[in-house]
Amino acid sequence: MTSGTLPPIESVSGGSHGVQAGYEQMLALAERYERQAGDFVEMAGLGARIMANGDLLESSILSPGSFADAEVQVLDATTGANGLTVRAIGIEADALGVRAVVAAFKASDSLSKHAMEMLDNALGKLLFVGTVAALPALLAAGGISYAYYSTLSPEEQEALKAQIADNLGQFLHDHPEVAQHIINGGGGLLESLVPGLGLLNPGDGPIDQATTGDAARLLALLLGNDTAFDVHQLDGIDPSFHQQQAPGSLADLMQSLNDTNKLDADDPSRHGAIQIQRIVENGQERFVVYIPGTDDMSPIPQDGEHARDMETNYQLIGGMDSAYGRGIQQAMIDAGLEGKDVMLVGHSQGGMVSTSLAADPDFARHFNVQHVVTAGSPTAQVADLPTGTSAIHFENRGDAVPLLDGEDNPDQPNRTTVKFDEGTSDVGGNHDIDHYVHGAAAADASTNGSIQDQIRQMQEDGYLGGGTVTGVQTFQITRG
Amino acid sequence: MLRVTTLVALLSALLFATACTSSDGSGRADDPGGQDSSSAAPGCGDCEAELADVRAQVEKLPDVKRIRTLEKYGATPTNGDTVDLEIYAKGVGDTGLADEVAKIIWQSELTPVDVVTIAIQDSAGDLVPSLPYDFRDGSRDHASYEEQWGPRPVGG
Repeated sequence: MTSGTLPPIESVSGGSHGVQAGYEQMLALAERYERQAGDFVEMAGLGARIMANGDLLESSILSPGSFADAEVQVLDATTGANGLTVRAIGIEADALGVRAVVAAFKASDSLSKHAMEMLDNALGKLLFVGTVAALPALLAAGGISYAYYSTLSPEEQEALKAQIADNLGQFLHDHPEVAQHIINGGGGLLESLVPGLGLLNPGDGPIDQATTGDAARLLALLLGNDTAFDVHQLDGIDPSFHQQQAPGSLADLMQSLNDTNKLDADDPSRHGAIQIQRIVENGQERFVVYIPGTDDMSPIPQDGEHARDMETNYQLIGGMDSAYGRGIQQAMIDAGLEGKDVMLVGHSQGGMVSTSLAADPDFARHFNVQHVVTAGSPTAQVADLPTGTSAIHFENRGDAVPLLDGEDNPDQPNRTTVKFDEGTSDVGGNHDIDHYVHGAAAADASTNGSIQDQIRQMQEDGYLGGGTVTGVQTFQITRG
Repeated sequence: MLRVTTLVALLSALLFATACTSSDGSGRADDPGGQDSSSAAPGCGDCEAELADVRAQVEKLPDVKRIRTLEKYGATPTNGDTVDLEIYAKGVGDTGLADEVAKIIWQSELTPVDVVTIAIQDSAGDLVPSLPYDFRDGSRDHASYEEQWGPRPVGG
């Protein structure tokens, strides 16, 4: 492999070796303990039944001494101080202890999460109150700063702007958790800005304590919460070299996704394009759907045509339906994927929509989503993925986009989050797909159990390391 | 009304604006639709002459059978300024061709270039593994490229 060194993997959470999987293993152990204790109790009862056996009792006349000796031994082994019954009680107590520890850990996790949500909410409120309180000072400081700024030459102004952006980017890279907390405070900020917020209903009942999701839902509603879409197939697009070959690694998946992402880089009329790769091995077919991210980053969508715009981002963060998501579903139906095994691979918004679709029961009725791979996507808003779907989420340190869900990804046994560090002070640049190709290659080379189990599962399911690509279809999704 | 406007502005900023700010001032966030911004970007613009020069040099490499793709894309919200190559090679396996091609681009007048992706199909029809080359200032391998191939003749 050429082209330099791989980025270090900073952390791996969730998956088969994650905390939740650990809890499940501990509960499975407790269950085994309980079964063992049950077996012991049954065996103890068996001992008493054996001693009460009529034939055995009759035979005691032949050798009363040895019968009495055997009786003592059996009773001692079953109901004695070190007998099975006592041991069963001890094992049962161990099982209870294990269950209690797991329950305590889970309660502690939940309490910690709830406390963090409350703290972040309060932080958001404080942000507003603090800003209002400090407004005169901020205005004065702003005025002085602007006066100084206007005395600079255009080159110096550019240098100053670059320096400020660089410093902010470096701060984000060094302290991503701070950015995450500030974003998670969006709900509290929202409550401060909108009095009577509790009366609003963004779709899932009145707002109690506003969250980032509530803020995103309200923004989506402000923009119209449009979900109408158009889908049509784009002909005459040859698959790239990477897409012509069945992927052999996570890095290969990212390279093919990168190629899909480039489709509209020199041809804006292809915005909203996704690609579907058909892989066949031993007569079995499976499909990889490559789903790129945001085309139009304007806070208020520009032309109402792009499906991959900020409205879709707000909808996805808020857990709502989107034109992009519905369009992808229709494109997959049009491509003949109904009832088929599929893997969804997405970058940025593409990863958000992939995760959201995989958790959507309606989508799951049409397709068997076995795997999801996301790169640089906020996905914590999808709290629970079905057990039949495995997901691996890649996040580059210094990339702000995966932080936009405001919290860590859920720790599920079928869901692994891989954080690697190829970040610099260039916040925008840290989000680029090429970093995720490198991050995926680092995961391919990793010995981490959760990552390796994910890769092994993908191989067993026929998505990595074998088969022949028999076609790549391209579909375009626009707003209807 | 003022509060609603402030709400939209602040939350938009909190939720997404950080993601689309580029410290190099390239304005990637203002480049919707993934449009080719090369004409507006500083550097060689359409870069036709520079790309032709790169093509000629790559075609001269002994292991190159044919170039399938040679494109330069401007920065988009999801990728930096990219040079993309697909090459049919004469040899089999990894012959170090990708590094030779990357060196040609490094030493070319093409600018700005953040990333170079090179896909090589060998004469057996197999894809030669190669990861994107990160040419950005401050990237992990930038110093190593500079040491091997000298400084870039043009900025970015």
